[in-house]
Amino acid sequence: MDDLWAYPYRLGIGIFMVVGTFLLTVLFIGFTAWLERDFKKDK
Amino acid sequence: MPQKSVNPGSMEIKIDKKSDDLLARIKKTALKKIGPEDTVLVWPNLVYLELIAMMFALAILLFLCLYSPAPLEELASADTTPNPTKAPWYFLGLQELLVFFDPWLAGVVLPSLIMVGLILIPYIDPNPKGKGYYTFSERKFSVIGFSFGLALWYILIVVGVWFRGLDWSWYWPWDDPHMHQPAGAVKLVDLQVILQSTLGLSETPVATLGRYVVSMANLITWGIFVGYYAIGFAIPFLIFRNFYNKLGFVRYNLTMFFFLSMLGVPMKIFLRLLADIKYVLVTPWFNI
Amino acid sequence: MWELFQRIRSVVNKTQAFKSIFRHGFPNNDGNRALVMFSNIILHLHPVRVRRGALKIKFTWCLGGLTFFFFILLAITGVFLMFYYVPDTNRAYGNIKDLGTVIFFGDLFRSLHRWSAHSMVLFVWLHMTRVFFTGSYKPPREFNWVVGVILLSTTLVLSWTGYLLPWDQLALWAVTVGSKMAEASPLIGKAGPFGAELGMNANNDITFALLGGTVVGQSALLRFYVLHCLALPLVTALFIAIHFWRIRKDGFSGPL
Repeated sequence: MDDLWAYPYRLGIGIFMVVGTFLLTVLFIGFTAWLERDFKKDK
Repeated sequence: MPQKSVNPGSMEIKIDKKSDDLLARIKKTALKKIGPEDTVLVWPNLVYLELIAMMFALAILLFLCLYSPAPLEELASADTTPNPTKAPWYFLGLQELLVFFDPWLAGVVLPSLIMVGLILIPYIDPNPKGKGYYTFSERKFSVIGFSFGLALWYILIVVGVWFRGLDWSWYWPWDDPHMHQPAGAVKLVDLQVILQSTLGLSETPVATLGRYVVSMANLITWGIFVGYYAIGFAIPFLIFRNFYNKLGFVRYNLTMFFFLSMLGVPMKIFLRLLADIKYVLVTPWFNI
Repeated sequence: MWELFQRIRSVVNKTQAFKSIFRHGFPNNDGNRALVMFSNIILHLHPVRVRRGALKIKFTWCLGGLTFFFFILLAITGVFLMFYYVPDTNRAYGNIKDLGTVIFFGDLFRSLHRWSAHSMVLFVWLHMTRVFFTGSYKPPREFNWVVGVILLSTTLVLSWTGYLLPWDQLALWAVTVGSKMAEASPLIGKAGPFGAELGMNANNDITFALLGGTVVGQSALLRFYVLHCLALPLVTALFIAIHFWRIRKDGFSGPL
């Protein structure tokens, strides 16, 4: 199992890509949702 | 069939009140009266706001110029290749895709699909809600789909800019960027080779088309490739019929093609990254 | 001091020269504030009145306007840089070196050009993201989104062609990466699918057309220079004009 973490870091890269993409997606959606709420509040 | 000749002078202009026809819209806006209490004069209210924004942006730019002036490396020379050779940052996402795709896909077809897909967005999104205001709750699928594509684009750029070093190998921030990573640690295999050995298929060709020798395993990989799209097209059609009905035949197929292609990019990345599969589909002319 | 200024202004405002240029008084009353929007070609991109909500920065984040501002900055700094630059492989690198050493404000203008270019690419993306999230591409504004995508591609190509001009290692190899990709185009590239079948080779494929040769050399530099300084800015300016025109004709989508 050790070598999965060693170079070429296959598991590490995989986790990085999945987590990174997920977090960015949530960030963009969250941004839209926040602005939706923000504009409703102002009305 | 003889074509009907049209005399432009005799053409009638019909105004559809429900549509967004230009004429209809002019009529609508002409009738709509906005009281002066709802509006403000652009000068000075908006014009000054824009001036402040521009001055603010210029100040930040000037600060950046002092902080990090434009670099100039050594004179261009075809004799010494820098390692790694990196494209401008905004193309590094595409260059990063070169690790997982052949150049014709990563550099030409995928960017073209992104451009065409972007152009098609307004034409394949029939949802009348969410026009002119931020909303996630009224158009969840569009927002999630777009956010996902955007996230994919940015994460690939982040990887290309900060995680690729010598020989385009992966470097964590704590790795020494001056040391080469060990080479040849992974052996990539085509999917059809894996199928051939695990299923014990015979290597005798099923058919021969010029240079193309089609084996049984190759035929199965075609099945998997086409099947991915076929199943992807079928699932929403069968389960979320409402989604299909809203879009209609043409829009549905375009949406699903671009959506599945977008989803296919990370899938292919993981096939090569974690399963060591080089190509899903091999032909003499192109490999995917 | 203020009174003196006011008095000078009231005199200047009545001169024939002032009236011939501005055609209305100083915009310190509502009538003239409306007229200034009508009669000034740049301000005329705006309507005279907007809804109160338009002043809210959180809707547009000023992204489109700032993208245009970066384009203007690029044009100004670009003209300055053109005075000192010759697209010759023997001279280009030295010209850029001179900008950093012997020319007054040369380094500042080059840095400003570079940062504006990076900002413009980023702001085009951010602006498109904002337009998507507010659904501002929906009918009747579909076509303006298409114009926007065209502007996205011209912005990227503009930036990329500019990358080659300093003629340093960064420039040469970044563009070499790009031209290697073009080589792999299906049908029209020599290394792409069906390229060889269609008779594509190093002397007739898309990369040859792009570089004016088989390697990134003098003809490539000249091509990129002309594209970067003349052809693409004109195309971009044209589409920006269409983009702005259509914003006014299609109407604002949001609280503007």
